Amino acid sequence: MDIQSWTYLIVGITFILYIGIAIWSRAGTTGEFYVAGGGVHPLANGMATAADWMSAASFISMAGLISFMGYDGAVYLMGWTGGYVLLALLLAPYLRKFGKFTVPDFIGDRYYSNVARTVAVICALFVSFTYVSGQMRGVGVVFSRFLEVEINTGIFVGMGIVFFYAVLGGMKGITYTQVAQYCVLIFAFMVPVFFISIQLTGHWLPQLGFGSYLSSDPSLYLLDKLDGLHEALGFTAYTDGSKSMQDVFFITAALMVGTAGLPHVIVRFFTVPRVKDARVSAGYALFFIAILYTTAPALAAFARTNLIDTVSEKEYASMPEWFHKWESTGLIKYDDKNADGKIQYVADPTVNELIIDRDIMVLANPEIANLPAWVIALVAAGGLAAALSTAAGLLLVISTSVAHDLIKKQINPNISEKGELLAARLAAAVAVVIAGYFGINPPDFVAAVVALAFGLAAASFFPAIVLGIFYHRMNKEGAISGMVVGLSFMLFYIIKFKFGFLGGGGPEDWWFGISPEGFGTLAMIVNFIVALLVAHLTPPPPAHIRALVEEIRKP
Amino acid sequence: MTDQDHLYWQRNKQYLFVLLYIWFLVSYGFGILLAPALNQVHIGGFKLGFWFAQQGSIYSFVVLIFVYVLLMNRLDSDYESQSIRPPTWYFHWKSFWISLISCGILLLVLAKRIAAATVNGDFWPLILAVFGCQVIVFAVGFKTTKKLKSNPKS
Repeated sequence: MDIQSWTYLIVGITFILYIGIAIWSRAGTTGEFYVAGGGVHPLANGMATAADWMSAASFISMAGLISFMGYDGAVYLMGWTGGYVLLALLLAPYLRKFGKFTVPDFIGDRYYSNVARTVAVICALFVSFTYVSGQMRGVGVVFSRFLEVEINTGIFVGMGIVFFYAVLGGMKGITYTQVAQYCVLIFAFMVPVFFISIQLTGHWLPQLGFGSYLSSDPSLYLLDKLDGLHEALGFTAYTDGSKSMQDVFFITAALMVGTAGLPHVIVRFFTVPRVKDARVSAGYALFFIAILYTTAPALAAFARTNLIDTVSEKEYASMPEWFHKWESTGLIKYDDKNADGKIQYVADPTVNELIIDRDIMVLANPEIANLPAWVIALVAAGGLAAALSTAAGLLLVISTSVAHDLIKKQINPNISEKGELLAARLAAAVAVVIAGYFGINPPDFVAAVVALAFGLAAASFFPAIVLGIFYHRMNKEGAISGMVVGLSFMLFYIIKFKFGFLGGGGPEDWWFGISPEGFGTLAMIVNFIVALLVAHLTPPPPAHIRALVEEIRKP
Repeated sequence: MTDQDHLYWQRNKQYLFVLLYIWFLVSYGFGILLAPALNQVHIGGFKLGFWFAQQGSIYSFVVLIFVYVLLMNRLDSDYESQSIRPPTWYFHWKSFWISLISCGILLLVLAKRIAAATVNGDFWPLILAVFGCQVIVFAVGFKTTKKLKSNPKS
């Protein structure tokens, strides 16, 4: 069987599986729609959280990104896993004890204010829409590369599938499809890496192979060889990196805190039965995520070594088949500047002849390593699983925010259970269509708004929730002004340095050398300071709020 | 709040403090601030700082959460039998935060000098700055239970 039939077969089977699960686990009540009835086993919730969290970007782009960044790639590795420690220790157990449906629910009740609730809803919607359009695009891209259809056709198919199980099944349907999607995506990610690790180093476990001798030269460590190759070609050594230390520090912190503040991750901890389960399921979630996140840097180093070995100073005519195949998609570009028929791949842009898209590192991996056709098909199914699971989780946040936080809590509190469920389904349906629209017509600023989404989550939600739990003196005036100031501060910096308005400026103008990606950390600190100052200047919260805070702190 | 409620929360905060300290140390400490110094040490094919940044910190995170789960489950059952004992040490949070923030500002001010020394291969200013700040923060924030009795409100 050829690659294409394998891909149709494996992707088809996984789609039938997702739809089957959706029919089996459809939601009947709002409780089931919002939080799966609060009855999910912590292990299942851990897997679902992992799939929810690991998006198309984690699956397709991250390893490639690291392989081009070397040491600096650690900002993503630490940033996107360290946030779970904050989540497990500072947020998840208390929010579960509080026991409502959404993050705006907590903020609205804890700060006894519909203004606070509305600010939280706006943040949640903004963060979720930013993210979900990227996921839809990811679905389209995977379809077009592996099944050779139009990107838009791929997006329509993806919309159809998500529509089916998110609208029908709500959180209950999403949770169990995400469990299946986690299994598909982790299997698809790991299998090719095992093969490559054995080929390069003789160790089947990539985490060990990463720090081992090469099988081609048993006296040379893989990473030493890679550092040598990099230096010979004029790049910074692979294990050194080129960002400044304070920038690495701030970006890591912004990503960690942003992770802990993302509403579609937090809401997963409302779905387990007890506080105890919320704690342990954060542990399971990070364990499942860590499997991919400790493999990705190994894959990055393997792929980088393979790539440089294959192309550097070699005849263009002797390139393997995958090179030409990906050249035709525009992801590899070769320009023979000195007309010697060989490929010069170096750091200096005036001499460099090869431009490589980072996504290739995962997508073309099985082909580079000459793996069988079914493994290549598996990678397609894995990429789709990663994108679909994240999209569904975000759509649910959007529909819950609209149906529960806006309609039920503010516009029409007397709405019946059936009416609310219908509103939630309609909101999910509308959100799917909007997400699809942004997937088909991606705004140019997608890359810029991803930094903004993390920055916003860090600068708005995280301080408000943490102070709400750990500082009972925090009142609504403090929390709202903190969120608003943190948010505007973040917006200002992104608009100035990413979009070039308000005077613009380059890296030399960054405050304290902090890039816009890392600015969320500073905005968060400002939020904390403003919130504490304002809270001390205004009256303390009423007695029943103090009681609420004491209640969520008890076991 | 009953005494046990109060002690439960006190213990919980202590666990958080210790675990988050380790969380900070393995990622921001070993993986970023001290990475250039640790890179002088090799373990197998890894430079140690690089290993912490791309592998070690993630393993530590997983272990940290499960340790927290175990500690809290034990604390929960102590609470059920109403047998949580008072802690033998505690943190004076106000002095802790004040010293932490002043050290942070000091580090930011000295950042350029320390970075310049590090590039020249002299790691002692970096190591001294990071560990010096920790010693100060701990010395100021750490109190034993004796003080707790005279100042029960903190």
